[in-house]
Amino acid sequence: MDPDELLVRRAQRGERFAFEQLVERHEHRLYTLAARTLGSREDAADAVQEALVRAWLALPKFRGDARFSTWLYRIVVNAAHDVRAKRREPAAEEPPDPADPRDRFAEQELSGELQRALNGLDESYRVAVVLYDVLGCSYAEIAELTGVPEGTVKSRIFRGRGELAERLGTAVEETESKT
Amino acid sequence: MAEKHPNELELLSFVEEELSADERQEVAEHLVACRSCSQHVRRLEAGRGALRASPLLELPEERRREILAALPERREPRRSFRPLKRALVIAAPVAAAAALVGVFVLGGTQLGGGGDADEAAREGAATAAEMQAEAEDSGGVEEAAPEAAHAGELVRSVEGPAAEVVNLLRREGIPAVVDPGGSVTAQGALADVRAALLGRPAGDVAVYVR
Repeated sequence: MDPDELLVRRAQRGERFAFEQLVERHEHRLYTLAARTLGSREDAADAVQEALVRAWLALPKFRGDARFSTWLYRIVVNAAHDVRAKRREPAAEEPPDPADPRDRFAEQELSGELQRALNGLDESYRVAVVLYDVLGCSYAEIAELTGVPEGTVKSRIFRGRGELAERLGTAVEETESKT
Repeated sequence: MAEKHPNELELLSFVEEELSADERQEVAEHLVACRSCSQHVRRLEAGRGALRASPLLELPEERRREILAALPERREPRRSFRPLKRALVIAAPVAAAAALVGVFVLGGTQLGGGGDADEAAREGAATAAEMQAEAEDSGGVEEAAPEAAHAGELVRSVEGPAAEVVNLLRREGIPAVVDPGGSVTAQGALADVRAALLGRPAGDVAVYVR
């Protein structure tokens, strides 16, 4: 059973408090998905806001065919795509701006490098690897929420991870021709 | 052994430990002999390691509060059908039919003194609401149909996202909500709303004042 089910039903009936609890449960994952996809904290917060407004309005139509989190991720992916299109810019060259002093920790250094590497990937690869490796979605969930077959999802993860490793310089130096 | 390389899906499955023992053994043997494939495997592992080691990023607390405060009012689908939305082309006749059936059943059972009338009427309404939802496509929440009829007066159309416009207005002390169709309705004097939107570039979010 989807652990969110009870809250979802109450939020569907219009209980804002239930929706707020759902937001609290998922906000950091949604924000991470948007931030890693967009490469900007500010844009990510805008995308999350837009997504949550859409989710709140569309909630009565949510039928529970997918897990609630999968449904939310899909809305965030779409909202992030729209925010990017509005900005009419490619992924920012800079890592997310550490505007929040609480985030200025050593571990953010790693994510700074990681973000630069992610920014270089095709958007569809970036979405796939973030959903799979950072948020722990299954191939089937990613296929459902991005609307492509599972084989395509796997291929995107394969290529996304591979390119990422090359950009991070952590993979082997020598690259040979295709398999 | 090195002639027939595993394809990329097989290599991914190898790294993710999704292969059967036999398949796994076959790929493992190939990797010993094939530098190209073993490099792919190392890249897959390195990419996975970097991603999995990355922390979740935290949505700043004040943004969360802002987001929750800016959530629009939601009209419940059973009580009101959104006027002039594309989906209503299909849903409206169904809703009308359902309402008729509801009234009919209600009338009939009142005469007969039965207790299922309300249930039947509710079911009719629910079916119409579901039809509307289906016509809108459960995945298509990102499509905001243009509001053809709006009770307020159009101020101007500005750059979105709508939620951002709402925040902007609220910072100026003007109550505002995102409408179901994606437009924004502000409550206040037209001049104040216009002033608050002065710096905002033109775009596709219609702002109304009421």
